[in-house]
Amino acid sequence: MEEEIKCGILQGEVLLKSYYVINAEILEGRLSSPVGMVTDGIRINEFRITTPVSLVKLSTGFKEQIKLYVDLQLCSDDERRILANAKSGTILMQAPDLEVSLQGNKHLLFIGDSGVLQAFPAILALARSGGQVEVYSMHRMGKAALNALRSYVKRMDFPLRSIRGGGDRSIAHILEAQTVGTRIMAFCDWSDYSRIKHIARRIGYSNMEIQGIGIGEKDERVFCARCYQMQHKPHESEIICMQCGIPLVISNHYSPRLEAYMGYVNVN
Amino acid sequence: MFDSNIKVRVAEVAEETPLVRSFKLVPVEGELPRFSAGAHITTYLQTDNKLLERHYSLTGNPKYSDSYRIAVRRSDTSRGGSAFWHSQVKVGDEMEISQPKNHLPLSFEAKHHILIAAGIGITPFMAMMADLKEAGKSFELHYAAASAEYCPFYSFILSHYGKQAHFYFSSEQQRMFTLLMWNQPVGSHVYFCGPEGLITQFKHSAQSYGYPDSSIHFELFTPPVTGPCYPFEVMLTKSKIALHVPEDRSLLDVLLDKGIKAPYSCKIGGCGSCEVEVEEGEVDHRDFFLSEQDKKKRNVMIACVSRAKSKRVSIHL
Repeated sequence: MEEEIKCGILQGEVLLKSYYVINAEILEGRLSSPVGMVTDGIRINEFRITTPVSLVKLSTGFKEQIKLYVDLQLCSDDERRILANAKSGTILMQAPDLEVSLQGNKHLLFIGDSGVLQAFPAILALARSGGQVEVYSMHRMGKAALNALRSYVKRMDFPLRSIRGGGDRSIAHILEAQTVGTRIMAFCDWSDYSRIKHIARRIGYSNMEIQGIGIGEKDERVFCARCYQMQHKPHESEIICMQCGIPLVISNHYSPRLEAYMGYVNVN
Repeated sequence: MFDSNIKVRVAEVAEETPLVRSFKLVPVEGELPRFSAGAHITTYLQTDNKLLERHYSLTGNPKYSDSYRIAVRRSDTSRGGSAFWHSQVKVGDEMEISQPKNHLPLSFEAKHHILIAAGIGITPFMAMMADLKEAGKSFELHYAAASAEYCPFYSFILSHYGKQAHFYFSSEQQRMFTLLMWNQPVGSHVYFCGPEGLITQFKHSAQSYGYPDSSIHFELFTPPVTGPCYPFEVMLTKSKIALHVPEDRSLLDVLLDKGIKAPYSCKIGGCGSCEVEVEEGEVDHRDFFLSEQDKKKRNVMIACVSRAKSKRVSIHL
């Protein structure tokens, strides 16, 4: 069973009108990564918030402190009320199921509309670490999300840049100009995340140099062992290959290079 | 070690430097298997007292496998291997060697290869540079030696890879600094081969400059020095045998002495071939194969170098 983390609430406040931030102190348990996301929500006193929460660990003094961020727009009315009243008490949560490491000498952050909340903890942690940071907003960001991001990034004294035209070439141009020690962090929907990763891998970044949090439905793929056709991976464990018509069993053998699961021919 | 050995004959011996000899080996019959750049062979030399197993990188161009070439430095602290090669082995001698094995392959993902060698550590890079040049890939060599006279393959490297090679001769007060790895373009991989001290220094620097572990490659020819060794007991749970591992022997040595067919290859903790499952006891990890995460989370140990922190370990053998 995963270790539960218990925190004492120090204070809570609204951030940039759309987000709620809670400062808390870790009382029991430990966080292995400095930045992460709890997708299952948290318990505040005896109440449950099911909205995903992103967090950053701030090691200050004797006890470790954390900042938790919640997107108020994703919360129900009840959850907003719970948050507004959360000035003291305890928080219980599981260890983050999505984590981001801060290793590297320079960080490039690519942030999309849906990834602003997830990006805040990383931006704060990187600002505190004093490393070199460049923040890029993805193309076609909504006005509210862009304004929130711009305001937050400005507080940290980082420039916010946009990707010219939003195309692959612009992204590649940014990535190619970097030197060893640069890390890429993407906080956006899965299609943009995959696109950035694909471009980065082509340029020479390893998987260890690319991380982040993808939002929404991930388009997973299956590779047919017989005809090599790539196709969408459904929830079922067996499919019929869309090209050669052979029944396939979807294994858990995943190729990071092909970004697909192996579909073995079903001999039964 | 289950591969079938190959019988070879020494076809040529050449003095590369006053301390280094190169040997050309040809098959006694049949053909030699092809090899990839960075591969090495194990040579089996029968002396009066015992059979010496020694590993040597293949220095020839991997495109040609009609013969194998190795280079041996006469070590001041030779345990018999290099001394035997230099004083006993001559043209016409026959011996057995292993199939080629590669624990230092070129990365197919790298966009730029930075090869860093000291002394006899140049040997795996000779095959690598041939491969890289043939494929038109980007690389640079940084090679430290005492002087040009004591620099194996100096003339060959100068004539074939002059544009990519940088030499550092200590006799001319030239030093090879780790800063050569700094500010390299994304996609650069670094490869080290030489004394343990050099590898440790460059590896730590590479990590601090931000190279991910997957971009750092190195090969040691001797096991790293990792502190005093204490005896321990080991229980083989499948075969129900209890063994004692003394301080001057490895677990692998003891298993092989007992006739247990434990697989192995490098014998210095770098390849993982001798990994065994640990069922009980605390492991003193001394290898450089397992990641830190593997050492913490997986119940395994590398039998050729790792030992027990507790008085006893139980392994699934």
